[in-house]
Amino acid sequence: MARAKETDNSRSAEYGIREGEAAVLRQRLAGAWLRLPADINEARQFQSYEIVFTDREMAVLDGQGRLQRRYSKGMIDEIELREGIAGGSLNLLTRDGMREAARFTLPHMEAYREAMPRITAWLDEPLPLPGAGAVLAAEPTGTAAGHHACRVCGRRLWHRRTKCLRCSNKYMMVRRILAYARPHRKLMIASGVLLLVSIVFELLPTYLMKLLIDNFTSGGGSPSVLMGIIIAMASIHLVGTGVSMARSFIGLRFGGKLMGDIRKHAFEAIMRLSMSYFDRRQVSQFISRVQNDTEELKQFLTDGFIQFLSQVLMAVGVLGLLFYLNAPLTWMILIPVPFLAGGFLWLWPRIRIMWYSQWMSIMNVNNVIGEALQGIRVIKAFAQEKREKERFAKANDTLVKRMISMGNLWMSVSPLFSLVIAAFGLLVWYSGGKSVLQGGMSLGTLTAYASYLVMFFGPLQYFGASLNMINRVMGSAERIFELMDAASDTPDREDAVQLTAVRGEIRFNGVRYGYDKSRAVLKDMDLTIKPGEMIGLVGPSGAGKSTLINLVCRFYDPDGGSITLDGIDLRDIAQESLRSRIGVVLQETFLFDGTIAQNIAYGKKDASPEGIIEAARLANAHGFICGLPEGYETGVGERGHRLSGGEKQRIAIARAVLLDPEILILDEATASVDTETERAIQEALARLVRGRTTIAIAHRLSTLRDADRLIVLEQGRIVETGTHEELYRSKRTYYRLVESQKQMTDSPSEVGI
Amino acid sequence: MSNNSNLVFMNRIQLYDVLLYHSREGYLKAVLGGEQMGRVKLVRCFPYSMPDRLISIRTADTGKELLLLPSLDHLQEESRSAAMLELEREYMIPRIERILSIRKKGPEWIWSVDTDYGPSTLHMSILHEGIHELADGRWIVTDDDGRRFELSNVDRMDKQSREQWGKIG
Repeated sequence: MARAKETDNSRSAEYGIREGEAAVLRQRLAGAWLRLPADINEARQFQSYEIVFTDREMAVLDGQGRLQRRYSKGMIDEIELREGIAGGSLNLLTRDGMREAARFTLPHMEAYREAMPRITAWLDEPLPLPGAGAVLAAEPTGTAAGHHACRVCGRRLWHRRTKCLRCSNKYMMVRRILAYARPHRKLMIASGVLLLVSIVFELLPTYLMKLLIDNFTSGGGSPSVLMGIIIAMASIHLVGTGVSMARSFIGLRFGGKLMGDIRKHAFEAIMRLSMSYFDRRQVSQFISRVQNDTEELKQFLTDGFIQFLSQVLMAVGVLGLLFYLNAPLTWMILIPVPFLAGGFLWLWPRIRIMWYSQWMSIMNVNNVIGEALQGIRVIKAFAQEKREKERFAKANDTLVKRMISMGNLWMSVSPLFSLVIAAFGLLVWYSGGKSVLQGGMSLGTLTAYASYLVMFFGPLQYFGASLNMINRVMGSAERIFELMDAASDTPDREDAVQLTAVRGEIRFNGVRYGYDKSRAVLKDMDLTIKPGEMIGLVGPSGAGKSTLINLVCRFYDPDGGSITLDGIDLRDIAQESLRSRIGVVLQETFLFDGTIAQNIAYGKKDASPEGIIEAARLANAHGFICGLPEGYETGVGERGHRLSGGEKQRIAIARAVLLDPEILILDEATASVDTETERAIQEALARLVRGRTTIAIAHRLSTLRDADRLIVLEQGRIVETGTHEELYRSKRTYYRLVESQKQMTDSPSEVGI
Repeated sequence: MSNNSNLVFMNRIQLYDVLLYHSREGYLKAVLGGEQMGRVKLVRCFPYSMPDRLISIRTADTGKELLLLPSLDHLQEESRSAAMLELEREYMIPRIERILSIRKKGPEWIWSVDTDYGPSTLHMSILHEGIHELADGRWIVTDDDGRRFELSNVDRMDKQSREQWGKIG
């Protein structure tokens, strides 16, 4: 409310409104019980403004809080929320016709939907409600609903993440990557110590070389000194080799373990995500994320990071030596360093974007391959191999182009670096050589100096190249962490209930849901399913039957209203506990790679062989399984024996029987099988259903005869309920569906097939 | 392309016997063949590639199709403007007309664009998940707030837009 006051002041200041009037307005707006944001103005342009409801009027305030329009409650006959494509509007019906009060894009829609019942109630109230405003105003208004705030910075989040990416900045990201190294810190420390040793050992030979040369040139050289230096160099090389071998061994061990850890985390993250996360994404990308991106991170932790550190140490060490050998000259060669640094800074954002777009192209190629493989049957059937080849070629070409332009950037930059280095090398030889001639410097020192100079520019050049590496790693880390940070849309509460005894009463209270938030599939659904009751869901496709089932399984959470099991909201029940009470026989049965027995026992690992056979027997599957040469040990799944649709379904039924759930969900269990098989399946189902709360969907209405109650859905609403006879007799929607199906089943004989 | 199709239509444009108008309550209503059909809604069959053609006129309550209009040109002037107004109210996907810049700031991508709804800034934390290709050269861009934008015919935009898009597209 503070905001209303403040904005009101600005209004009166700007327009010079009389203090009294402003005070009245301020007071009124302070009593606002609802504020809704909107972002499209009457001229169809983006502009953010707000509509405000007080007890006696509705006002439109612009972004600065200035009053634009107001409608007193008495003027308004009706208020309608109009949901369009990607946005909506709030319309007022007044005596003068329809007025559009606000127009907004999709993100605001949910706030309006939630507010609508309250707005309608407000409109129906005869007079201002003293005191009521304060109560309502306490509720969160506007955008706050439906969004989450970042855990770290509190910035609004739309995609239900727990933390915004802004907070996962580079520094945080490196810390998170390094966190994976923590369990293996002994290995890492060992590797670091060896690294220091090897750097010292790399720097030493050059210095010894200087001593060697000076020994020759000083005139007073002795063979014993020569021998000593040679022996020292030999032992340095020996120890150096040993150290680098040890480092490689440690690195391999360390890298392998790390990669395993990261991959495991990434896969666990995928398993944790809810269905809606996968609905809108191509699945092939996840394989690449788990494999390639973890590989990238591993590279960074094993090689990249260590090498980076070693190069930094090396540069510092060399620089120290350079100063030790000849300080004035060293100051001179440091001149190009700021320019090189500037060059890196210039390159950095460009490489970042290029790298990202290259990665996108790689993903695109992967997606094309993935999709082609998944749809291979359709492609072959429609003879579209050529088109797919073209599609692939296009994606592939883009990738090639990106790689070339990325390479081009490097190719044009790195020779420049070399040029700079060569120029300074020459400078050193010139001024150093002059000072040798003048006797200010020994030849050994100059030689060592020149070698160290190369060693110094080496790391600098490496930092340039590592820009590329760092960008790649950051990209990979971003994607992996994005996956790990993505919050499940159906999270388990911390105090989630573990179900003990389940009676099986399912209740829908005003449930509203849409996969796409702009289109509701289920609308204000109220339904109570009694324990042990069998419900048949009937209705044309798209009526919301499968959606209803998905909600019972809690693959998704309703947008509005609630679903309860035995009076407990599904959102309060631990998901594992909930799903262990639900047996599902779906349209398409997925068999995992493994034996039939393993597949039947999928939901219940500890099942005994007798138990599995018993379940198969009840599912009428025992017969055909015994007909297979390898019986229950027959391999099925992608690489195994091909089972027919009816056989697969009976395996699925056996799965459900073995699980012995209190709630059973059957989705078109007998959709595509012959009559004989259908009878076998029907029989199995009849046994399975007994004593369990069952929700069944079937297109063949005859299969739902046994249902205690049929629910007829149409456009997301329940239009009829009753038994088969009742509904058939009432001659409404259900009657029509049955009749049209009769015609369909009759027609083949008429056509003479 | 569009020239061709116009030529074809010019010769045999025929008006459909349908009237569209807004009632006092602001509802779009239709009269078809002289018969009052009540409240209707309009659906663009190809909302991006053919916004003014192949418009399905459906009843507002049951969604039953009353008529598939090949083009808005088949309507009388008043009906046509009523239809345009209705479509404008229904479809709120701004079209990106210019891309001023696409930058990556930290892990976030920031687009500055001009649209037919005025200038706007899009924040996208995961670029590849926000860009969906509809058809060749047509994309739907969804920003972190869930707002949707149409992006098409970038090759016909100005040089700057093409360059910016080229960086990522």
